[in-house]
Amino acid sequence: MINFTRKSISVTFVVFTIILICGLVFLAAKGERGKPTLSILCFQGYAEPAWVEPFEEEYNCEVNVTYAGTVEEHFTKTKAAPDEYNIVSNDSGRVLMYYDAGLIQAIDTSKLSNYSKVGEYFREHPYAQVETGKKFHVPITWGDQDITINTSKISPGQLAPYLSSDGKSVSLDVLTAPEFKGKTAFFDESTNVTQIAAIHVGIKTPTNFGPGDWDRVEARLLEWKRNARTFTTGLDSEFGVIAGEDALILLGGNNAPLNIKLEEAGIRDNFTQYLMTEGTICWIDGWVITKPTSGGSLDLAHKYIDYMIGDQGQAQLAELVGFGIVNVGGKSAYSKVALDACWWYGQDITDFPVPLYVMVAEEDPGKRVELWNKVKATP
Amino acid sequence: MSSHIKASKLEKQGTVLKLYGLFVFIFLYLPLFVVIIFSFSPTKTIVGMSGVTIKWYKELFQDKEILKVLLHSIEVGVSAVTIALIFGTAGAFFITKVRFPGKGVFRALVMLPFVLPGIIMGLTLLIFIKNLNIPLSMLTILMGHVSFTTPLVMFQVSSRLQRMGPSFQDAAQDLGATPVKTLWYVTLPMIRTAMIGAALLAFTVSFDEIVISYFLTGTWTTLPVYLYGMLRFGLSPKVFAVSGLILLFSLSLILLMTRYIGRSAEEVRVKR
Amino acid sequence: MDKIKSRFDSPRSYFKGIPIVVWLLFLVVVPLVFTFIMSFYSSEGLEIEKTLTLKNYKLFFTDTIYPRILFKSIRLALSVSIISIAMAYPLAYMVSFKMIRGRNLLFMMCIIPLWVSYLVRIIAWRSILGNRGVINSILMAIGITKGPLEFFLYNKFAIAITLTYICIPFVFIPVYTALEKIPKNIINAANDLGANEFHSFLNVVLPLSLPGLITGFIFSFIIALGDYIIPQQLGGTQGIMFGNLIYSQFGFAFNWPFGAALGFILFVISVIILGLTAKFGSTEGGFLGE
Repeated sequence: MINFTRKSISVTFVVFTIILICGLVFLAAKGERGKPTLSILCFQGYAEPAWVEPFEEEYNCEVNVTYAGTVEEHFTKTKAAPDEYNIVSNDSGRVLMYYDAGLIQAIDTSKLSNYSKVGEYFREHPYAQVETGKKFHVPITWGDQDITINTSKISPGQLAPYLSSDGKSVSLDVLTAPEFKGKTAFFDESTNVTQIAAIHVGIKTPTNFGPGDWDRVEARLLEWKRNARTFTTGLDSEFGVIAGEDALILLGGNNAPLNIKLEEAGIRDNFTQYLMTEGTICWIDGWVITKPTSGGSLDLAHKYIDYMIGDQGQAQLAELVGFGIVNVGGKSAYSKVALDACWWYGQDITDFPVPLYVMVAEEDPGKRVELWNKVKATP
Repeated sequence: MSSHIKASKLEKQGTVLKLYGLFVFIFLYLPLFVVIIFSFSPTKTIVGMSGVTIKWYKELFQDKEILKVLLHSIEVGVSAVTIALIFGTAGAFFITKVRFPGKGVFRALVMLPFVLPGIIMGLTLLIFIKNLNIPLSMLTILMGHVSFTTPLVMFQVSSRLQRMGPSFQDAAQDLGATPVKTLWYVTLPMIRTAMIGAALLAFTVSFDEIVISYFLTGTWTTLPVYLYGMLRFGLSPKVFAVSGLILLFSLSLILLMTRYIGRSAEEVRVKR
Repeated sequence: MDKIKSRFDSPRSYFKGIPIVVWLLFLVVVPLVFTFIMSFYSSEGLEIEKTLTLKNYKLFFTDTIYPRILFKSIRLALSVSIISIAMAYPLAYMVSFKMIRGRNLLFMMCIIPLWVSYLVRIIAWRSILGNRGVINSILMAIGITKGPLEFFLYNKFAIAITLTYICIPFVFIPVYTALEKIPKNIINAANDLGANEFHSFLNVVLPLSLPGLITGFIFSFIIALGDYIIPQQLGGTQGIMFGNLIYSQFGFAFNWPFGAALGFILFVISVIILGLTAKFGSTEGGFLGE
């Protein structure tokens, strides 16, 4: 009997040891090569194997990808360990914050052969001008916040009072409409909700609140919240909420990938994508290079960014993610689904059909977090 | 079982209880069934599922990232458990065999990392590590995991030691065994099963730990933290396939274990 | 024998304590002290101002949302641990007392769910509880309800049920091992003396399994108290808990000192709970109730 237990223990021990050794061998094999590395912190979708693997081969390097789920997590992680990452995906509203925190270095655009292909609007926009004459952020894609409506469950008659005259945009009032109580959902994130609520109450500078604006935004967000079925936390939860018919009206920022997912599930016909008549906010995502990056990694960082603003990289982004791109060279790759649902990505950003507020640095992000926490905590 | 009536009554109560147990089991396994179904769905979701596919399992084996982080999780788990076994067992001897003032407080302090909410442990360790300017790496994650696996091992082993009492060791030493020999031939075999039980549970907890690891991870990620990063964009069905495989693996392992080891262990316990 | 040696032990025996003391200092005590100190700093923009101030604690006690959310979280954690015990205790009792064979298998079957990632399991719950989820589909298919029931998902109910689900194995394990320690012949003896099963349960089994029960209670209470991912994913508009408030201080708010203060308050509450339950001997029992 005791032999038996002893045997079992030896077996367990041997299995554990084998696993440990395998792990160590794997680690050792990895460390041995000593290739130059590029470490990327980004959203899923910005470092896909489709182009990362060829990139590794072409430059004989190793690319480490770490995903962060939210813009806040990007910042927290970079701030906690700036030397861990070489390039970080970052939106237009956060460039100044990274700069102020001393996390990023200027990007040498002369090393980017494709930089001139980036649309003038994106190159010249003041969002990234944190230091005169220098670029700290190279855009790769942009997108807006808008509203997805389950038009198989909400009849045209119900929706009519909220539609614009051309029928292409809907008023933000749907979020507070009593007839849609318990049927709406929106994004659980302080930056986005405070800015769109500001647009809803008619504030002209959604990233820069005046003294009285805070209370108005808070009151409006409470109205939104009391009418809402749930908050969403990202693409996956948006899809879950809308495909599961838990909410019929969704305010979110993942229009194109959401529609691609709905199409895959075979239910996209039930949904229509609307812009908001009052206007909307727009983020411009791109790359920043962290301050400690140098040597081989710095070269790789420029090469990676250059690839992603090139025709091929932009085409891959357009095809895979479906958001707006910054270099028209990639335009032909848009899927029919993306262009059908989010037709404005097929045209120039300057022709955007409703007022568009590009997200720039906010006056006090901490205060907005506090405001949003307060709204969430109020029953 | 003194009378026929009582026996049947007991059985009846047993039936109600067994039904309730079955209900709890269904509750425990329902989400796992859903996960398995997801992993075979061709459309990435359960909505509009038509047909069955194994393509996610195929793709899983081509996805170097997921396999890499899965291996990372196993590495961290095994290393953390190994270190915890050393620290925890030594600690168990200390706390049961050595008299010192303030033992109660000491005991409570040791237990903290396991019972404090993960967010506090992750946070305090991160603040500490940042103050010392230690770069985030596998080592920092390992530190986090050692912090909560050690108390697990220690209390498991110390309660076994307490139950044993000192008489066996004293007897061995009276018979002329050196302390080292006593440890090797007498004490260790007696606490072996306690160590294995603790190691298993510690590995389980480490394998699924997310909050502490999240705070302490740099580019070197474990599976749960990797999944957490994916969550906003959507968990790929490959993730459900990983879960399916892990489930299959652990189920068969456990079936084997209970078949070949469990029963004998049970008998040993009865004999004692 | 104990009485003969009941003075301090020889200094040599203290060597055994070195590893655990080093571990304790570096991974528990010093980090907690650092956090405690940081909770008295303040945050100015993106810099941490290192002059000591009571500002953070003052904010906690003056702004009503923080204590309110804290109480909400404590209430939730209490209900979750009570439901978890209600589900796990009978299960453990059944496995330990009613199964003649396969006890070890059933025991392991209760641990297996822990091997599937926590995130994957909560996403699975979302698809079970939703309007077009498993439960509503079944209810509608067998004609109990006409339309989907909405109260399953995106509210406190969803948080409670998913947290309970996560906690059950952590209650089951200590309770089961405490029950396994009870010699079965005691029950038989009680039964032979005329006690029915309920009486012998109440007078013999329950008191003897109390340490395991308390350990299970602590585990589930603490897990539920600190979790922020389930409330965020499944709690809908009611999904803000104390953990979420702490977590939100580490993003854009970049108010680490306030986050540290909130964390310290949660720490104190956890310690109070431990202290209140310690007299039942929960830490003496070992996690597996040995």
